Amino acid sequence: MKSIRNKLAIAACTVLSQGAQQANATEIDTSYLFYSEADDRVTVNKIITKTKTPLGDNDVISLEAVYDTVTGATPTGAVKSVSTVSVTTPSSGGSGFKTAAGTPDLVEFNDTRVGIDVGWVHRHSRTFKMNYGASVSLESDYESYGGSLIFDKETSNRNLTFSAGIAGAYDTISQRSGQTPKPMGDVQENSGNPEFFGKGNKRSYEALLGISSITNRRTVTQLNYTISSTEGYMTDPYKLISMTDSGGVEEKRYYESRPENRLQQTLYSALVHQLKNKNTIHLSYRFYLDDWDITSHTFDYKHRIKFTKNYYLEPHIRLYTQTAADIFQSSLDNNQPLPEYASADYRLDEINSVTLGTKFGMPAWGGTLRFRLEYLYQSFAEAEFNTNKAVIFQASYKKEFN
Amino acid sequence: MLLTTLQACAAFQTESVKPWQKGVLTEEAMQLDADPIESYVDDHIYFSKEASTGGRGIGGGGCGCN
Amino acid sequence: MLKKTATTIVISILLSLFFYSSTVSSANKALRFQMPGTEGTVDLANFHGKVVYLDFWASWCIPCRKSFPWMNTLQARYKDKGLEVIAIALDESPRDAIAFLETYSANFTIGFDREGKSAEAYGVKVMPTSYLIDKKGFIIKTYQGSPKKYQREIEATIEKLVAE
Repeated sequence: MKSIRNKLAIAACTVLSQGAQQANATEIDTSYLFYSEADDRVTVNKIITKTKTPLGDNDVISLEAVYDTVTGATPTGAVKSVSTVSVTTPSSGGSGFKTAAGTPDLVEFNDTRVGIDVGWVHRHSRTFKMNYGASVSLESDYESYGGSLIFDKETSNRNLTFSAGIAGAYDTISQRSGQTPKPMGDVQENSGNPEFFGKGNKRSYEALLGISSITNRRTVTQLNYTISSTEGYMTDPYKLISMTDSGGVEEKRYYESRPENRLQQTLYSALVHQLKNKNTIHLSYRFYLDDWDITSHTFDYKHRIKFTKNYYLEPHIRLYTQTAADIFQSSLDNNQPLPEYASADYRLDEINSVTLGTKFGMPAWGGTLRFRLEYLYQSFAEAEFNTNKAVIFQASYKKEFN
Repeated sequence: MLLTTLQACAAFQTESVKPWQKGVLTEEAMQLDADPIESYVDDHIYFSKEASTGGRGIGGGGCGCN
Repeated sequence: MLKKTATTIVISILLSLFFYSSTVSSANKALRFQMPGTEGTVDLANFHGKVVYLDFWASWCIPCRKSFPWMNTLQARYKDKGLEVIAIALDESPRDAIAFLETYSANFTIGFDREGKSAEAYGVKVMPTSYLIDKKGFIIKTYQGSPKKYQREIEATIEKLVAE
């Protein structure tokens, strides 16, 4: 549905070639995801299928198709209304805002998305390959088209891989009506008929520099630097921000407004290591920085406990912390002039988050079956909704066809 | 846990790995992205619930996921 | 005087060429190895007078695996003419190699070198790598990577070598 931007890291991550290994069979991986938030908020049902086929000795093509439905309600960013403020936007497509007194503001929605990613890896020589990627994602209120190009160069002993790449995307954003509200526009302007514009669009450019290394027989490490610049419409056309009096009582509502430029940088490091008992640890840390004043740290740890052949249990913990964006305000002060940019989107608030879960893998019907169950807990410093709790369930099945 | 930590220190002992010593490294569990479809889903979830994104790679499609 | 110097130079060049080529030849001499195998010790010295197709492989290496049926054919076709296929398993755990051999039967000589000393000595850089050794024990040709694309060439060279 609505919102900002995306950068799905397709398996663009540098893949170390091990030995003279080549994908030599068609591989199909299919997955079902169920994501559900507490308090009847967002529910996502998603089906993904990913096919990878070698073409001769030097080429591999891949196709990834995603179909998902998102239903439920999500915070608009407005404060709990003490008195009922009756607002029905002509554009949200849902049933308007729930505005009963004391109820935090939510917008209901229901959307489906279809996404397709294609990839082509061509090996030019023993130690040099190119990865080409293209993607399309379509929703009623969001369209995205992207392409990427990544070079991977290995040293002659293949223990080091250097990667460099660029990617670009063009996204079109609107409410379901195909319109976008005037940023910082008063929701009740012109007796509830505020000014609307046409679709918004944004362009993003990304670059990657990476190195991955075989440290020893049981260890692989990786270090990536990415930089991304986005320009254009980055406002969420559904999000609102309340103007309140000194007592926190809502007086007015405005559509949010975000800057037209954003520069994001990440430093990502990962380590994979097999312990003496054949268990494997996956450790990663990401440092993120952008010019909206957001800094974040992400720590991820997976421990794969191997039982008998191909049966495993993989506990997982993810810790995340971010600072608030400079444009984040839980509400607008009625004594201050309207700022140019402001958003009460909880995702731009200061966040502390923990994910705990486990995955179970087993062989089945000549392939691999995996089940994953996780619990996500997020806490927000100032946002109207101060927590988000969700359950993630994923079932996947992968098989190779020779 | 302590044992794991101690053992993990072995991860930092560098050696020049010969082509025939890469058997363990070819295992699925030893790939930097051991379960790409899971990473794809996670990237999506966290992209739509947090302000930061990216790191592992570039490219892929955008979405208006909420 | 000038003539003498010139002669000396020519002679020394020729000499150095001779020594150079002789060092190259000795470097091309297949190094002897001894290691345990599926049927007793595998010793290269025991194959003197035969053409040897020497293959370095590991159970986890997919292209290595793929060359097994072909190596069986090779052994069957040229055994009587004096060819021996020797495939050295470089698995850290020979048990993995043995388990592999239960699925992909091999009708040729198998050796186990868990420490990879032979591979080191032969300068293996890619898995698999194979060497074609003539009756006198000289390495005639090295093939890196999957032998699929070299199969015809290898067979033609073997035909020639066994006829020598």
